[in-house]
Amino acid sequence: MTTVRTVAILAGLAVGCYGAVLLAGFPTETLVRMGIWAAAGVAIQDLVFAPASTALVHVVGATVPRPWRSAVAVAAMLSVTVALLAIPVYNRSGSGFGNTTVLDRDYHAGFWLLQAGIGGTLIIVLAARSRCGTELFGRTLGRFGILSSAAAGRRRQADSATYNDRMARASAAQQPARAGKGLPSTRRGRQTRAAIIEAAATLMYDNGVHATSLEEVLTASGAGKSQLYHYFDDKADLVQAVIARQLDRVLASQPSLNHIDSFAGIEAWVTEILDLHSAPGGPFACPLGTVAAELKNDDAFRPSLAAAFRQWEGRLARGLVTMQERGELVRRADPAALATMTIAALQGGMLLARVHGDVSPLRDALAAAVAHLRMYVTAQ
Amino acid sequence: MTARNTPHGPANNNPGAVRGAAVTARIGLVLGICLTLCFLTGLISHLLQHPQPWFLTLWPTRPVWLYRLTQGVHVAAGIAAIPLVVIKLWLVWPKLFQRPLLGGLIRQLERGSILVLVGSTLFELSTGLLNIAQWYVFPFFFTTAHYAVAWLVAGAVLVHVGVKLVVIRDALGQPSAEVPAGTPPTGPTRRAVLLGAWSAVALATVATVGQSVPWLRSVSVLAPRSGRGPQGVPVNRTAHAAGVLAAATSADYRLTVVSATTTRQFSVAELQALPQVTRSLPIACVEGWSAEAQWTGVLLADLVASVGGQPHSDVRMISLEPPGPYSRTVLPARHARDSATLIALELNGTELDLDHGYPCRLIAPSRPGVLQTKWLSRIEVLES
Repeated sequence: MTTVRTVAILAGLAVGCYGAVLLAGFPTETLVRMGIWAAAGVAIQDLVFAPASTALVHVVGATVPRPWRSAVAVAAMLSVTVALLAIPVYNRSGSGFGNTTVLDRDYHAGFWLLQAGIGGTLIIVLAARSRCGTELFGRTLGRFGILSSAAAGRRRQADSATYNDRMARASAAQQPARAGKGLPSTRRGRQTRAAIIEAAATLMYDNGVHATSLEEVLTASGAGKSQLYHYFDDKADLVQAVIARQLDRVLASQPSLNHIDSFAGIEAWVTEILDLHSAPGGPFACPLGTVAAELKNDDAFRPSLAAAFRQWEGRLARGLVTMQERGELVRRADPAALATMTIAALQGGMLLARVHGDVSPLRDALAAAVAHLRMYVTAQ
Repeated sequence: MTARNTPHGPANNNPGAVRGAAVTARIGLVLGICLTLCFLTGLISHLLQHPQPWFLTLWPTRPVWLYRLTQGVHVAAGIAAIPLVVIKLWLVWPKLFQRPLLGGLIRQLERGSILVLVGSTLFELSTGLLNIAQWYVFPFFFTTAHYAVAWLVAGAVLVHVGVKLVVIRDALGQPSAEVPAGTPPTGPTRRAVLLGAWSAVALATVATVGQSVPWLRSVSVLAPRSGRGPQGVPVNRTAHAAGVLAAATSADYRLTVVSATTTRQFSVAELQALPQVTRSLPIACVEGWSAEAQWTGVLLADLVASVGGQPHSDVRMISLEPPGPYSRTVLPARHARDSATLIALELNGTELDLDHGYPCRLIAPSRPGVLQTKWLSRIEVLES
């Protein structure tokens, strides 16, 4: 790699020097004119064009609804390209010497025809993305999607299917995930959106976030592409919804976490977790831990992941505060820190249990965490 | 446990940002391919017009459309690079203000190489685009300036690739749109930027490439040439502009063919009386446009033989045009003896138009149009 880079840089310097030697043969006056031309190009780009484009992006961002922004951005790029190419021909500034075969088109008509074509296409695309178009398209595409969803289903691994089924049953009563463009107003819309998130969560849990394409999500969920983009801006938006969904699954699988007010409650929670992971196919990888492990370096998702873990820790911390208020834990105990420590032990325990195919690392980690909590028991 | 940005993670390395390396590297890669094509095809065209013996021994006469292809690619790739360069510069624009603004020597060198890269690339694309529309608004001679600065672009691209190779490799390894692309609060998504870039390249190409690809003529509404012209072929330089109207139409016109031993003169009627052959050959201008046509006339090899010239001799073509950069050219022996090389008297079945070189012109395979000398007055067989 270093060799390739060194060779490229040295070759580049040599090639550039040859250009400089060629230029050295030019009269100074010509070089000044060429330099001014080049500098003007850089100045127009950096001081006029780029800031104007950046400002335009912000204006579009502030005024155009999200689902329309991508189409507007593409149309803007096309429109600017046409304008740049039209500069030398629009007014036929170069025609001369009585040559009628150069610049021999109606460039005004051509330019406006292209701009109108871009504008017209944009309007059609926006109309197709609007609610009416989406549902019409979505229903048609959805039919094809449903037909082929069985193929994707076969890709699931048996153990995770068991886990997902258990999770799904446990969390059936939970609210759907909260990310994205807000909840659809119709029941059918909510079902479609939930099906997309459910399929994405399963595929991403099984295969990874990066390895899961939107096409696979569409196939597995039976939804249409336009429906997907109606509910989610892009894959990132969907991943945010999946993070929220995985948190819901985790919390739904341990309901006793909400009722901790004593060490008896903590033991009940631990037993609930160990029971879950002792089921056929277990120990399981944590749905939230799995997605966190993959996206831990991505600033776009770290806040959401941190918030999800905070919620999880928060449930436990609330229980510890209750215990503190009841006098079961000493005042100097820090419920937030202790909750974080316990969830950390749980995360590490789940990972090693899954890796070893044996629930005992998880049992031991949780036992150690509970033993640590007991150090804060009020002396009787 | 709260989310914190790592202090060493600059914003441009955030794989979620649309202005991140994943999009820039992809657009940069295609832009690099376009610029490489421009450079190589431009070099070919330069070497044909400023003959180097080693190159002429390599440059073939078949396929007859080879120069049509290389120069068509030159102009098309240059036009395709225009939207790419604009989008790429927009993507990296915030780096202009990255701290430290000046920094140490290495940083200054890197910034300097970027300045050369951007300045020379914009110089090449702008002058090239203006030149194909024959709008000579820039205050310097096009060909020499365009050629010299091309080497600066090539050098700066190589240095840039060398400096950024690790970033490029990592960025190309990152999925573009199928990753969790963290959408910035207002900007377009990665998917949209890439879709826009590729669409812009496609549109720019379709809107102009008809001047070299006949079946796209009707949709290339921004092409400087519609492909129409006298006898169905465009003209680059008219007889009026070349100042040959009187000489070309004079009754005293004679084509002089000279070898070391013999000199012969032919009137138009005498040329027409020689054996005539018809060849289908493209005329391909350095400005990118090209057209296929039926040319009828005398085989150059026959004329060379008529004065006792040898097939291994180069042949000089001299025009009625007053002395200038394109009034005389040397045709390498390989092209001179080729069975497709004509001194044409007719174009598409009718007598050659004045603007196409009446009374007679050279038409040879796989050569720049500017070297297909029109209004021939003298042909010299050069002793090798």
